[in-house]
Parts: sequence; C-alpha cells; structure tokens
Amino acid sequence: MADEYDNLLDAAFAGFSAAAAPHVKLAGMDPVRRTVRHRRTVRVTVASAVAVIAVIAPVAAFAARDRGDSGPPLPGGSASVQVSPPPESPSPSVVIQQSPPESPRNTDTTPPSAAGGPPIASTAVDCAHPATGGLVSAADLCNLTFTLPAEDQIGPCPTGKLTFKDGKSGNVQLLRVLQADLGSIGDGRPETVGLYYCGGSDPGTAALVVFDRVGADIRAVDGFPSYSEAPGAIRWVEDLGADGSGELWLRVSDRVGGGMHPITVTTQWRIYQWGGDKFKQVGGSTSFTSPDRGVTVASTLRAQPASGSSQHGALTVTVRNTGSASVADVSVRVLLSWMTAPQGDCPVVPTETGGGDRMNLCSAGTLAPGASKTFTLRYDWTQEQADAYAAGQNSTGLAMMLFGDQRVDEYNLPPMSKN
Amino acid sequence: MNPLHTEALDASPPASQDIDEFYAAHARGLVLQLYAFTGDLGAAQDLVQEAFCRALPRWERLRTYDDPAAWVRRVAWNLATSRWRRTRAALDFARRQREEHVAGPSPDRVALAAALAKLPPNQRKAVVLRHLADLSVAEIAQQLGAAEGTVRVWLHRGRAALAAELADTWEDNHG
Repeated sequence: MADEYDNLLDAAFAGFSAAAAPHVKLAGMDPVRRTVRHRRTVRVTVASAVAVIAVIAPVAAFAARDRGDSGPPLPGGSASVQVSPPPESPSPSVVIQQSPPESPRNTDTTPPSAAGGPPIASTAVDCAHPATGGLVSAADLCNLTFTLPAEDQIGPCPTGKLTFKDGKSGNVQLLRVLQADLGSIGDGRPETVGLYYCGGSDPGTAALVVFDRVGADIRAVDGFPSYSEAPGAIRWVEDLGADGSGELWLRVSDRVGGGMHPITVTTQWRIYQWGGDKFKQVGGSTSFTSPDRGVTVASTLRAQPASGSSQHGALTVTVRNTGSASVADVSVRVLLSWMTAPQGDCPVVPTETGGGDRMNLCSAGTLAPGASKTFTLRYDWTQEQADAYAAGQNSTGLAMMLFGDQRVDEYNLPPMSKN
Repeated sequence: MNPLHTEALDASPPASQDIDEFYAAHARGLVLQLYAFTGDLGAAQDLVQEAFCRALPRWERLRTYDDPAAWVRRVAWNLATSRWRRTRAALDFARRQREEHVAGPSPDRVALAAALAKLPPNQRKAVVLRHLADLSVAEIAQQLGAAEGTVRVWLHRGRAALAAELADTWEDNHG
C-alpha cells in the first residue's frame, strides 16, 4: 500500500511542482538587502523614540488615574528580571517574575448594540470609485497629497506631507474608506475616513485619518489612535463604521494583523466622537484587560543554561482565589513556543489551528476562598532551535498565559547563553 | 520522491558559497513547499523573502551550520505556521483589504492543492515536507518539534487521506 501511495503522491507532487514552478517570481536578494538596511535604520529611530515614551507613559498613566476618570488603566502585571542561583544547581539562571495583575477597574461600558457592530459600514478601497454629492471619495484619497501633523502620526510612519498615488505612499497604504456624518466638522456635510496600514513588510500598524472638504481643498482633520507599543495599547484597527448620530466606531485589537488566531487577540468595538479639536473615546471598552474575577494568576519563568548548546527551563503558574466565595472550574491556558516540547502538570490540548505551538491546559478545579494551586511546565530547546525561533519571530520565544479569554501574562523566553 | 524538489539535495554548501548562490539554490523550492502548505502563492513568496531577510544579517554564522538550508526552511515555515506570526498576519490583512492576488496556477489544474487543503495542518506539513522537501521522518520530527512516532502517524494518515482524495478526483475527471 505504501508503494501505491508513493507512486500516486510522487506523481501528484511532481505535477504540482511542474505546474506551479513557472509562476514563482523570485524577487532576488537585492530587495532582501534593501529591506534589511531599511530595518536597521528604522530600529535606530524607534529606539530613540522608545526612550522618550518610557519616561512619558508612566506620567500620563498616573495623571489619568489621578483624575478618577475612565482613562486607560495601568497595564496589568509588572515584570522584573533578576539573576539568582537556583536551588538545584550552582550555575546561574535567569528568573523572570510576573506579579499578579492589579485588579483592573471594570470600565467596560460597551453598549449592548456594540457587539454587532455599527449600522454604517466601511468599504474596501476602490480607487476607481467616483465621487458622489461633493463628498471626499475613495478616488480622492487614492491620489491625494495631504499634511499629517506629527501628533497624528500613523504608527511608525513619516508625518508631514504625504503624497498618495493609487492608494499608496511609500509604506503607507489606504485600506478602507467610510463616509458618514461625524458631527459639526467643517462644512457640515458628511466626512470621509480612511483606514491606513503602515509598515511595509514589517508588522506595522493601522490607523485612521478623518478628512473634510474645505472649499476646493481636502484637509486631514485628525489621525488616531496614537501609536504605542506599550502593553495594553491599541495595536491594530481592523474596521470602522458609524451609527449616523455622529459617533465613529472602531474595531480595535491589541495584536497586529487580521485576527489570524482569535484566541490570542482581543478585539473590541470602541466609540469615538468629535470633541471640537480631536476625536475622543466616548464608549466601549477602554482596556483590553479582563474585569476582576476574584482570581489572580502569578507566574515565574526560570531558564537555566545547560551544558553545551541547549537550555532547559521551567514556567510556574499559580492561580489564587482572592475573593470571598468559591470559584469553580478555574483553569489557565498556557501557550508555549512550538519547539519547546513542554512537559509537566498541564497536558497539551488540541487547538483550533493546529499551528504547532503548544496549548497547555492547567486545571485547578474549584478554588475555595484563599486557596491556590501551582503548576509547573518544563521545557528544553537547543541553540539552533532558539536561533531559528528568534529569527522567525523577532523574539527569543514566547510563553503566554490566558485566563478565560484574556491574556494575563506573557514572556519572551530569555536568550540562550553563548558558549 | 518527487524529482523536482530543489531545496534539500545540496543541503551542505561549501564554505565559500555566498548568500546569492544559496538563495538561487533554495528559494524556489522553498516557495513551492509553502505554496503547497498555504495554498497562497503570493504569501509563500513573501514568507521566503522574509526568511532570507532574517538570514542575511546572520549569514556569517549560518554558513558554518551543517545545514543552513534547514535553518532558513525552519524560519520560513515558522513564519507560516506560528501563532505569533505578526508579520504575515499584517501582510495577509493588507492584501485581503486591497483584494490583490498573485497570479498562480488555477486550482482546477492543481488538484493536489485542493486535496492538501483538506488535511489537518500537522498532516499537511508532514506530507509536504516529505514529498517536496524530501525530508526523512527524523528530519521532519526535528523541524516540527514532534516525536518521530507522531510524525509517522501524521504521515500515514495524511498520505492515506491525500491518496483517497486524489483518487476520487481522478475518477471524477476520467471515470
């Protein structure tokens, strides 16, 4: 039977290769070199910007909290990295601890109708779509030069004068267009909103620019949401719409991309309204973190270099009932990088994608008030596996803990020690 | 095995081989593998270009590996399959929104692509790596981070399901 399969399948794959090979267009190494040079330049620029954000962000977060308003809560969980001798070995190990996230305020003000999305939907951009009723059209936006103020920056993209041709300007790309009345902006006629993707072959981000017509000119009124790589920040805008009353609805997520893996992406509709000079959020969730369920999740990652070119480590996850009533069916799901081959208390469970990453289910059952349970997952991987993962993911490996539908902790596995 | 595979035959380049030669020797075969796995030729080409973007800054180190092709293949497949493949997700999203498509052979003419798409991802990966990359069970197990016994099960089930699907298609077309 194996021979029969071999003949049939070898013929099928040979036919596939012969049919597909002429269609493969190899761009060659020159574009690769240009991309690598560009990324080096961008990284230098971004590194400078991050140093500034690191100073400003805590101040802004504290200010929002001090007002007692519904501003974004502080991201849950703070991480510390320390080097300490593990009890089982004289060689050093790296320990990363995640403290239990501060119980987030339950600020979810999402109206019941938000789940279904707004009644006025955006459309995929069509650069040939004609203008109607004097409104700014998709065709206008596809071939438009406008000035975007620095404070309205689209992700890591350039600001200032942007010139679009056929919907593109460098690595900025127009994706979707919405025409709707967004309140008393400009001439009172409905406004046009463009959803832009920026990033080229980098992960990038997506953001909006709102336009209005001023006389014969088209003016960029506002660009948002502001770009940030801080935990809990909006990283992507999947869609937009309006309800006809002046509210602008954004479907946002905390992960870059089109929601390939819903389990790791939190997506919400958030509602914005024109505030006279900027759009401001007036409805929907203000945070990607989960409401307080009376259970905390704390974790520690201990990575220990082994002799030679491999590493082994252990991830411990502790769930604790901090409430005053028992909580049933407490479980934490842990995703680990696909090469780590974890073993331990939490069995691997099937995932919907079969993508190869390991989803482990740590089930604590019913936790009485004050009770806790600790799980340990051990993993091993080699220098070459770590190199390949680091190159593929721009990280040294990942461990991600999910409680309910919410991501509660996430680690980059520490880099392999150099021998 | 498929005589047209181009990626695994010369897995150990001489130390003097530069990355342009390495690209010329391996990129096309890798695109075909990822096209078979994803069913999207444009995405497969993007993934291979991206894998070489990751390889270029590390080339001096990679060229000392026993099998640098395995490294690039692993990165490309990792980009294609990982849960955290943010880059591809972004590219997919942008491409979908723009409704752009890369020309490729018609699915009707490539029954294998349609049949592969019906396999669970792990079986599909194992079968493609076996027949297009010409990897052994041990090499597939190493690349996918799975036990050899598990890979044998994936291959057995995947090949059987694929053969049945192709036989049905052949009967429909010729019976």
